[in-house]
Amino acid sequence: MPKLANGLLVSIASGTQVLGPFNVPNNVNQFVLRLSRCTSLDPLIWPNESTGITVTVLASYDGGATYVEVGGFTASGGVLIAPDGAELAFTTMWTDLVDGSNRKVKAELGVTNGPLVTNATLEVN
Amino acid sequence: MITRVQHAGIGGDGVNSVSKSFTSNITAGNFIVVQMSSYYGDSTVPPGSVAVSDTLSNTYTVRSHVEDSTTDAWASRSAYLWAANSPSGGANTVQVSGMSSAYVALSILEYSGVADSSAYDTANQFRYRDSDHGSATTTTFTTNNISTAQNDELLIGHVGTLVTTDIYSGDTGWTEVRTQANSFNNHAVYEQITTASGTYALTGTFSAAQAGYSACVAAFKAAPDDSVAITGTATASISETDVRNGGKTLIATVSGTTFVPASVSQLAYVGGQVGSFAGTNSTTTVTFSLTGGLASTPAANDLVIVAYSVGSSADRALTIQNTGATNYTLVGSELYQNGTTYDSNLRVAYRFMPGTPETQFVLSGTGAVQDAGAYTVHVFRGVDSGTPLDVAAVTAGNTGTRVVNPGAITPSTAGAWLFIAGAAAGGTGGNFTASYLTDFRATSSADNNDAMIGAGYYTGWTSGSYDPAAFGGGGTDDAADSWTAVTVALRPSFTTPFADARSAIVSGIDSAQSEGTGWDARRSTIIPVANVVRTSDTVCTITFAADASYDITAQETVTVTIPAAALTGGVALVGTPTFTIDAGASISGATLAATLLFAGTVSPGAVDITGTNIAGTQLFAGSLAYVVSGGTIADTVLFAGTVSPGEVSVTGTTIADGQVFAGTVGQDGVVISGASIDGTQLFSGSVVYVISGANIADSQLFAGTAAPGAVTVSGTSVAATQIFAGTVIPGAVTLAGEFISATQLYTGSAVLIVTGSNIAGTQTYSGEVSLAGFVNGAHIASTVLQGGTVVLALNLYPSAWTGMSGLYRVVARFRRF
Repeated sequence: MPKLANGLLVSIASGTQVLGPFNVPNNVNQFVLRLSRCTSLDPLIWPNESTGITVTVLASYDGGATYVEVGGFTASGGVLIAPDGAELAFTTMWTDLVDGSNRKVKAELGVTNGPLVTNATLEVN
Repeated sequence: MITRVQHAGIGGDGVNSVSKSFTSNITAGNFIVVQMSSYYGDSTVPPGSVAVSDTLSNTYTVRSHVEDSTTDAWASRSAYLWAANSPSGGANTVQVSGMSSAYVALSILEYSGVADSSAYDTANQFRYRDSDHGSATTTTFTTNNISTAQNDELLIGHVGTLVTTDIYSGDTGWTEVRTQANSFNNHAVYEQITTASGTYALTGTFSAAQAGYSACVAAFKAAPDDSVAITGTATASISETDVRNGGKTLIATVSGTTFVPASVSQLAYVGGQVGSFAGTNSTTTVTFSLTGGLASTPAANDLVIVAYSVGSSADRALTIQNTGATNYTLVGSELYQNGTTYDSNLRVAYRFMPGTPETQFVLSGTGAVQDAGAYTVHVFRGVDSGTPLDVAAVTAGNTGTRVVNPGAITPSTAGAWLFIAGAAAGGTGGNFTASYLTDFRATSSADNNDAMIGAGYYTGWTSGSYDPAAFGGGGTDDAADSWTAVTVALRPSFTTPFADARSAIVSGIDSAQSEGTGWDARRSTIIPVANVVRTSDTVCTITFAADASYDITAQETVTVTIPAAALTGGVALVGTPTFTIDAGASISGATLAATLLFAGTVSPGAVDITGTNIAGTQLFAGSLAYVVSGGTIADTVLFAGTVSPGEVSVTGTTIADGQVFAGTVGQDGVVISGASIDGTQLFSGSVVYVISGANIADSQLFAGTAAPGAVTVSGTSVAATQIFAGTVIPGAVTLAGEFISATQLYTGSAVLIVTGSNIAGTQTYSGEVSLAGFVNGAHIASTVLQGGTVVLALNLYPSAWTGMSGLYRVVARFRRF
């Protein structure tokens, strides 16, 4: 499970930022983005529910010359209770990547009511 | 046939919305299914607030759902299944929104072959909660039953539960397409394409017992297979003669697709721009920098329309030119309104871009440094280059206000677009608005006399008059202001897809046989492209033209294939049924005998009879054309009807009949050749004959009226009791033979040429000879040679006269008045 960015502590100002691009190894076809969330143990991470993020994941299959949208999500800050009753430590997105070589991925992060402080992890499987 | 094209998915923890792009572009007309399993945790999102959209602006309808509820203490999962037809193709990203910190597994799928409309048939869903079943877990899942309406349908659904791995196993008939998970939830998407209507449910088992699950299923009808049904008078079997005569029709009716349109407008919007400047006496050069359309600069043949507004206190002379000082073509007239203080000047002009498109244009000075200028640029593609303005432009203007109210226009050509430009002059300008216009560009320019301009286009006109609404905005209106406006209808150029495909349609009507004068060889003559008519979106009518050269010896089977170029579906379709063309009758044999061989109507060349002996009481009773060849041909009535020129040829060693030709035949209608020709009455009607043979004898060979050159009788011996009983006109009869003898050769008014060694007859000429008759022969004997009136001359050149002795040569000239 190669990590393209591992727990990268970022403070994302309001507006749009780009995470990456990162080279994607061959023979992987899933992309996972994790943004750490506010928990009792780490209350300074993304604490405000009013702080929102729009993530758009883009992939390139020609070495970065062109990118196409793969998927994305929107999320808000604050503490969330997961189905298992615990505090949710990460907002996570899993999505497919088309097989190929010479691939890159990047994520466009649009923050409102920032800054948004989080640890960002990018994995490909 | 329903086919899955592609699928993709996304999972998310703690998200308000998710979006997922299809890997490949969606194909226009295909069917999209979106399925989501979600868990809301402690969210307060009410059920039903979740919505689906995509970047192709498709409209999704939820077809099955099991919704979570914040009042549900069990906090089970929700399941949704949405579907949409996608009329448009292209890159597509689906977004599900309206959630609040949800845990989502989303799958998106594209199918082809699902009905375009009314695809939805039925659906069902089920949510299992152990609390409803005495805390019992389950190892099976179901959606509950659905009953489908037609045989071929897409059944699609999913099941989800709080696991992170694929623990699902669908029952027989169901195919697991994909699974999608987040940290807590996993769903599996199943499909089944049915071949029989009936009762179905998405059912299966879990590999581990579950306390709950949610499952959905929906059924969607397959689109009817594209097909072409062939009807018309050419089906299912026609004759060779039908093809020769023309007039038969093939009617091709398509279903599941349509014929390509008769015409398609080529109008497209390239882009626009707007600009302004303060008053100046200098020219202003503008570089094209278009936005909002297909391109940033015009291409060859694009139509550039520039509207130039000047706010002034006078009537200014404006120009719009290219950089080579060539004027753009003025639309209507240059407009001027003499306001109380502020005068509006507006010049609208256009230019088709040359092969090397221009990159700039030049505006004249405004006329004074106090007069501000403003302009708009709109560029269109596919405008009719010969007549770009569909009808005369409509101009309008007024004083006492700056509110532009463009004039109404009535275009004449379907598909015309309207271009509307308005200008105004005032003390303090503002930007106009016109929400009904596309890519409305507006600006104003400040100076002593402010200039305002706004322009855009309208594509919604279909018929009648269109009266554009007055512009909004424009700043504070004042009685000292004035305005001007131009309304233009742009005539589109068209392509003609159906007309262009007609030749291919004709080529697609193909025979399984390949005779030299058969269907495939004669197809382009039998069906000229003009005879291929687009009757409606689904019907094409093909009419056969006459083709006398079509000639086959064996049946042809013809298949109609509508080519891809003629169908919007872009796939060629083979029509059903085929049709056959039967060859004309052909009879061959040593001996042919029949009471009534052909009683109907046949066309020239339709019947060939070949045999050593041909005998029948009545061989041909109708209108017909024959070729009869044989050693012996004998019948009571061979030809009783009417035949046309060249239609009958009888060749045989012996031809004998009581009445061979009883009807009327045209020039060269009958050719009889044989060693012996004998019959009581061979020709009783008005005829044209050629008779050649060694011995020709009959009681009455020719009883009717003959035209010039109509009768030629050549033979060693020609003898008959009454050879010519009717009226003949000059040159009508030529007798040539060594011996010509008859009791009454000519009883009517005739002009004859008789040439032979021996000519003898009791009464050779008993009627009136209207012109000249010639009898040349070695021996001519007759009791009464001329019994009637000789109007002109009869020359006799006997080498020997009966009763004379010695050698004489007598040249006699008879003239009677």
